[in-house]
Amino acid sequence: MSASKNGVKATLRTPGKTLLFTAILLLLSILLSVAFSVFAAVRSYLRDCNDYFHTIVTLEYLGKDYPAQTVYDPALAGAVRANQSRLDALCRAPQVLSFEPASNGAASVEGLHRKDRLSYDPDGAVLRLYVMGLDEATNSYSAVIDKTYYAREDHTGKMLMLRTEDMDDPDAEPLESGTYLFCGHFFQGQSSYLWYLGASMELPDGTEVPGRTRWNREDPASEALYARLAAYLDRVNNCCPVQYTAALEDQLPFHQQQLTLEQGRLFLPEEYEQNARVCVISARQASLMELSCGDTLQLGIRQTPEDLYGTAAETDPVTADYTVVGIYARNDDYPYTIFLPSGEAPGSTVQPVNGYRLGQFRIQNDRLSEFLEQAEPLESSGFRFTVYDQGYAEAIEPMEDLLLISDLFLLICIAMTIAALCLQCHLFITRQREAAQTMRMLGSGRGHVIRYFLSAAAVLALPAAVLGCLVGRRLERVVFRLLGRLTASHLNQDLRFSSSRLSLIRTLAFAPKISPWVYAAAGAFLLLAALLLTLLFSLSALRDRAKKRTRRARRQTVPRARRSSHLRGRLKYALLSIRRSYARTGAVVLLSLVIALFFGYLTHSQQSYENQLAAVRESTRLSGHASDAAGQRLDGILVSSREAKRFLDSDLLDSYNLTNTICNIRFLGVSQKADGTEIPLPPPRIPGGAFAIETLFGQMLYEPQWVQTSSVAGSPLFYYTKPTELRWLPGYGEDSMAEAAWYCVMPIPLMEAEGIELGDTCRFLFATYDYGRAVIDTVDLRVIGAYSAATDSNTIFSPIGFTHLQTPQAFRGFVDLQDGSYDSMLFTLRSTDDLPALRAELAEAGFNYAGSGQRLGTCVVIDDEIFLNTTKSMERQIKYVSTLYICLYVVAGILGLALSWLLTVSRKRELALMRALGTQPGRIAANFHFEQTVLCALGLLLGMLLWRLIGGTIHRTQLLLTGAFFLIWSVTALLCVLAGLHKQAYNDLTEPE
Amino acid sequence: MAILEVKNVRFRYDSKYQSVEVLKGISCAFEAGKFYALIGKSGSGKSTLLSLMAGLLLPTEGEICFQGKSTGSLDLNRYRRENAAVIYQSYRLLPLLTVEENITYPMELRGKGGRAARQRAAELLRRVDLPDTVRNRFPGMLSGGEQQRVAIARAISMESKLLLGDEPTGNLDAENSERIIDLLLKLAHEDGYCVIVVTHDLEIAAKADFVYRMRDGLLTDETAAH
Repeated sequence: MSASKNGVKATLRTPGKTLLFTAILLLLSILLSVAFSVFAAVRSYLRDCNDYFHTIVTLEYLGKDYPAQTVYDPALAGAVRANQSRLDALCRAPQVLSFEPASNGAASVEGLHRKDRLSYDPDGAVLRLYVMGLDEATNSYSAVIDKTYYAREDHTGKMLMLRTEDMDDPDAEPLESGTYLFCGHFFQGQSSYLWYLGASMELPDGTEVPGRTRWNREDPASEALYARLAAYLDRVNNCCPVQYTAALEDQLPFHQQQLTLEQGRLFLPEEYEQNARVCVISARQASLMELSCGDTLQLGIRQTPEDLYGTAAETDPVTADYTVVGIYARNDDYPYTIFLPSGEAPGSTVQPVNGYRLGQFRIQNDRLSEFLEQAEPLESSGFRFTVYDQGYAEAIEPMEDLLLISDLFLLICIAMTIAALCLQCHLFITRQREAAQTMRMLGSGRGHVIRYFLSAAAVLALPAAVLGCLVGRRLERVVFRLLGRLTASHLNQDLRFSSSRLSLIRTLAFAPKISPWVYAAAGAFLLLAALLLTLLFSLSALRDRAKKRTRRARRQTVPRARRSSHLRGRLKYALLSIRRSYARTGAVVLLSLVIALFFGYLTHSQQSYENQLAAVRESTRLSGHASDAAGQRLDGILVSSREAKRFLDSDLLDSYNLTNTICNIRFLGVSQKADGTEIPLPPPRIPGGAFAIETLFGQMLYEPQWVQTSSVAGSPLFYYTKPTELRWLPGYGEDSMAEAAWYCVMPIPLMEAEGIELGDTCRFLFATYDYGRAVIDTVDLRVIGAYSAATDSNTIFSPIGFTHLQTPQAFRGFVDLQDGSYDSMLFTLRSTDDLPALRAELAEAGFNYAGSGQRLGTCVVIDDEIFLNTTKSMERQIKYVSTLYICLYVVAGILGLALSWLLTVSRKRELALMRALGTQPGRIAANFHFEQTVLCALGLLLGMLLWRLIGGTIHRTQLLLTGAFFLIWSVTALLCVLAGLHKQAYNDLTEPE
Repeated sequence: MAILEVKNVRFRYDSKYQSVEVLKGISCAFEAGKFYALIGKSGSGKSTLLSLMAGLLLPTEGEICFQGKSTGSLDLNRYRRENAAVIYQSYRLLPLLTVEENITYPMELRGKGGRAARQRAAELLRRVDLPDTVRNRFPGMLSGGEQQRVAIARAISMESKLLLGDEPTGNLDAENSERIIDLLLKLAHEDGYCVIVVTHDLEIAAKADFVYRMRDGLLTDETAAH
């Protein structure tokens, strides 16, 4: 007890030092508290981010009809089977939390009659008609719909016009008055009449149903066939896509907030576990069927790994009643999708499906890049992986920096605490070594002496620790507000039109809750460190110094000079000291050498990152495109030319590609062969009569599409699948598509079927409307190119500029149309430096950001995600290196100061003796300073030499940094020497050895 | 005639917590060619007085005059370099310099370097009974007696007429101690140095020409030994 009392008294009797060290420890305690809280807060935020953000990756197949959702592509099935093992391995990859395959299921819903155009065959119909007779003037039959077996709308009792040209087989026997069974596609024309396009149809079992047949009451078999077809169409058109899920909130549309609940709730955990008969349906379906949450609907579900609308449509459904628990808001992309819970893993394997979306992976947020690395080889087989992270990457990006800084800050605080405590221990214990020895001589036990010192340490550390924790806790709000600003900094980044904002749908505010125990831990750390170091220093002070000195003396080898130096001059002493004091010389040279090497490494890294960054900026050609609201690159986007022109005329673009679907055109024949031979062609067969225009337009719906484009390969047809072949007439190429000339590029199958050669001039019939007035005319186009595509395309491309020619009156409509809008737009940025200007220009031009939820106006996406990620990563590295420079300077400065001071202090008697001998202070300072600067310079030079030898390049920055370091060292050394000289020589001379 | 005069000198150590008056008005005088001993109990102020005379400290009050000039008015560095050579109990040789370099160091400070200085060093080594073989050794390789003799040689090399010894034989055995004192006596009597030695050793005091006794910062007695 007395030992503790004495320890406390000894501390209190040196109030100056006690106050100073308490203040230092208090400051350190506050810093430690802040460092601990920041450390905990950043980790807590990262944990929160991990829980809050869910990263999913969708798996799609880029088939020929991509992105159609109702087709069954055997190529997809083939690709899945060929890569089954790799796909399964990917599903089981350690980064994958779950894989949910797209359910290849459809549910027939009792009482649902869909009227939308997103069903399997929205225009298909099976009707019984009463044909009244042929009107020769119009070459058309009039008929009344006697019975609607199946049609999207019930047309029973309406008049129907049938043109002989529209029949399946125009040469078939003419119709007679009477009742007929018809199947095919029926359209509402310009007039109030329905019109018909005959087509024989096929049932899933392969039975062909002819386009028409005479109805005979005595022949029920024939009617039964049409009734079967009607039942089939009814089934496939009125079914709803069904998606089983084990986590509805992670299903892409919900995950991306394309779908939001309007009523009810998501599934409960027990509903997943029990595969409960509950469902979430669309508001459209709910409204059509007058359903609300809690109501029950009957679903007949069919599932198949094969063609869902083919053979599977004929299989018996599994029928059950489902309770509606949630209704999601209307979304045109998901008009009737029904979500059902599935507790069992819906399958950990990829299976062929209808459409091209094979499923989605839920990935551990922080292991996405590993997953994508594994997935990459599959991309060459036509699979496409799209990441949706909800903004996780954006949220954690500043946190990663912060994490590093918080770690560094914590480490520095801990190091500073330990250093301060060591200094305190040195001053309180080492200086009191004699007191300790005396206590021992007087018979005090080691424990007594240690208690003496521990009490003294506790007097200093305990109040500092407690107060520091409290202050740290009080500062929490300020510190976190600052960190919050830092974390929100990414929100200030200009990501307008960027593809990287497509999945950015939520943000998480930085508001961690830190337990008071974190602050207690900081205080406890300080207190424990103080006590532990005191204990160590006490034990050291209690050791027998005499024995230690003897052991050290035995180990020491005294340098022996062969002969005395004949060096002369004022700096002789410094030179001799450099030559003879190996340890000192070695220490300074080694430190400087390491620092020079480190500078070399840092400047090399920085230079390398800067070069890489410049190369990436230089070599990257950023492109962008007009998109739908979700950011998809699609055809049929309405791009206003007024918006586009201003943007395209800006000098920011390297190139751009526009397409414009003009109308359907009919090939009439070759009007001039490639060699110049003219071939007379008969005038086109234009229907006449009352419904001539409707008939012609109806006929031409199945003719090739005429599309203006500035690049064939860049047209929407080839967005997802490249042309299998693209050849050009010699002297022509993609550049020709920008010309104002009457050219065309035709599909090879059409050319082969019609015997067309490259260079031939073909005549086409076209029909369009000019301000409501039908325009029907012919046009001659020279075939300058031919292509074949994976899909059965019959698009005929013409140069974008041809409508700028002196056009016949008939083309006025096209020109106006072209002035009005485009179907698609692709562009390439001239330089990545212009990216901010491009964003501004797009905004000025009035385009929307995709993924912003705005469905009006045209969206534009700049595909800059990879570029931004790459450059941001490099810029971050450069920032780290720059931060490291500062850290290195601070550390090197502290080390240099410490080393200089130690070198001076360790030679204080030498210095004092020189003064006692009457050496001028200037001469002493010059010698000591010269010695340290020469050693530093030597080390730095050797470091640079070594860096050069190991293959490094010496950059100007490295020279500047090294020079600056040398200057700092030199000034530090001079200050230390001057401080040493300031001390009374007498004190050092009279102190015992 | 006195080469060094101490006139009513007082000296006080001031620390943050305490102030101690070590010398309380001391007056004495020292002549060339004589060997003086300053004796007294520990804490009586002997070493402080020696440091004042060596120009390492300045008196709080009073003055110390060297050849009639107060040390307070002198350039102390120059005074120490040219007029006051000190021999310490723990030798205080520069560890990185060889014996020869330690001896030539004061000469170089006075602008006398090179061959002449080395010859003089060799001469001084002989004079303090050290063999030529030690010339290129570092102090750490010599015995205590040898180191002390090097320190004396260095002091002589300074060519100052005032030779101050702060218990120069305190770390030495009896034989070495006697040799050192004999050497110092010789320097005083044959070469005309004013040698002032602070000591506890009464045998040394007995050999001195003049003994000053100190007690509690005051000179209590001055005795001519012979």
